Amino acid sequence: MHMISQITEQDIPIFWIVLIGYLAVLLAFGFYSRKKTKSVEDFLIAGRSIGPVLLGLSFGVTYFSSVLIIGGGGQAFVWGLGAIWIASFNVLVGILLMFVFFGKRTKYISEQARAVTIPQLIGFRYQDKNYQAFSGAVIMFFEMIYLVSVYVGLSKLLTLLTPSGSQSETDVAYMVGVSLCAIITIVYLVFGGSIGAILSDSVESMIMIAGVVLITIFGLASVGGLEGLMAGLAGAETIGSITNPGTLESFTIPFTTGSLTTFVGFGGMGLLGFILVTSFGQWGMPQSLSRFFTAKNKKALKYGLLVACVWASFVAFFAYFNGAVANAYWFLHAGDPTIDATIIAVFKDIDMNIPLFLRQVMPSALAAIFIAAVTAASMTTGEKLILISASGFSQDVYQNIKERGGEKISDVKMLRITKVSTIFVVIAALLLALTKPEFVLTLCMFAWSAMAATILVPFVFGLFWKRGTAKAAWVSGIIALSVAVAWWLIFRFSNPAIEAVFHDLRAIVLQTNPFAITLGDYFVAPGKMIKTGIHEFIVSQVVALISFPIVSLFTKAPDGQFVDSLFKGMKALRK
Amino acid sequence: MFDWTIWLGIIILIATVALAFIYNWWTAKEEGD
Repeated sequence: MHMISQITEQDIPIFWIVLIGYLAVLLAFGFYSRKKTKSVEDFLIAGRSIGPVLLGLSFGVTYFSSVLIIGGGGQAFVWGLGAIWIASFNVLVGILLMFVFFGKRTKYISEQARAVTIPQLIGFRYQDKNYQAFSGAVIMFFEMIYLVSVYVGLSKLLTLLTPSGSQSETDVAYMVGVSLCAIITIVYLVFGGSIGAILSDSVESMIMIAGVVLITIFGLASVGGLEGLMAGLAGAETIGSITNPGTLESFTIPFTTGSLTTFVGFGGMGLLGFILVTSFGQWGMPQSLSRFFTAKNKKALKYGLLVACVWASFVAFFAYFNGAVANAYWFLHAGDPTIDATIIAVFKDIDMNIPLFLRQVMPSALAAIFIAAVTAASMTTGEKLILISASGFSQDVYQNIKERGGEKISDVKMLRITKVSTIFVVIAALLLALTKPEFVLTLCMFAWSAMAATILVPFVFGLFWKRGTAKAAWVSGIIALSVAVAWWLIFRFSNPAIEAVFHDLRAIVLQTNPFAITLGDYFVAPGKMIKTGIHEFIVSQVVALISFPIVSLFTKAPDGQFVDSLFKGMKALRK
Repeated sequence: MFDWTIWLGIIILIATVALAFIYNWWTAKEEGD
């Protein structure tokens, strides 16, 4: 009988040593960057001084954080090898097209506006400081919620640390680990700001390469190479059902022939919907768009694109591939009660696919190092969210409102205020992550749809269409945000009361939409998102896409001289 | 080994990286870098 091996007691110190070692490196980065962080511009956007390699890696890591290794591996449990298409389109749309379309233009306008935040840039483009405050407030709130989800995600990984598997031990490890990381994040962010954060991005990028390669090597060895992988996936497609070793009930496996070994085999267009959401969603993420602000010059953007593409295609490909390997492994050993129990556990929470797989196929000490590395790297991911959230308050709301009366706040004072906001964001996120209030956990699921609602369409039109107006930004932003919230509540939020009211409506939407992500009932649990129905991102963005040009054309054209000179400058960038 | 639909996904990924290099080379030529 196969036993899911635990990380042994004597290997647990390895976890803490690696974690603390990484945090020490971060502190060193913060200390090193301290002298370079003298102004708000240094603190938030690295003083526009970042060269191609760091820019490319930082961009890649911001998009595919270490969370991808866990989350992507979970998606590939469901989609099988077809999940590789997620990697392909993410790199094509979310990196290549994003750099080509937005890189130089974003950098140019941010310099013209002397902007350090995305809402500042949008506010400048439309000459509307109120919209800056509005989108800044949305970003401040949801970026912090997003940060909470990164912290909470760690608790899953840390279940591997407890030899007894007991909940109380996991809770203690989570509490100590997350608190330690948060406190060190505060210290080194306050010293080093975004320069320190970008340096640590480069370390995270290396950790991720090492991580995916290690899992691939151990994974392929465990299934017996590519032939074993295909045999395992074929087994999963045809097995039909397994028996729950606990209750002895039969558990129906939803995979069907071709569902794991071909693209769009399972759930019809569902995978395509997921690809759309994750690829285009990137265009509305302030933490990614603001990477362009940090570029030293055009050359940094140019070669940064290559670094980001090469790094991301490698990491994303293997992250998804490994998820399929893990799936194959489980089904190669189906029939064994421990493995069957594991398969059912993974169906209940697909994010456990990779963590459980690691524990199964890696030596205990190596798994301990791996968990520590991913835990530490998640902190790096958190840094950018913290800085963006903090600047949403300090720059877009506080400074914006204070300076209306003509009062000018000195850079030194603003730097201090931004740093205080940073501390506040980390502490608030930490408290939420430790107490895990139900409403916050549910908000996490659509945090980035909400941010994209107020940013994506006004930003893209603002860069390419002179006629776009501030009123259109307001209308599309507010409608998209409301639609995103309403759609999610009505169609995708699992709650018995809401389910009862909207049951018929949900059924109609599910039957008629081609992008329904139909994974059966396995992922439906109270308080969790139902992975069925069109994603609120798609619906809200379509509404914004339609409303923005219509409202623009019906409202007064923006100041011709200002917009003309801005677009003239952008046009000259091609030369 | 893999189904053709999976190969197609892999080819799109490789082509994307190649396209990035071609784009850079092309714009460098235009700009006379």
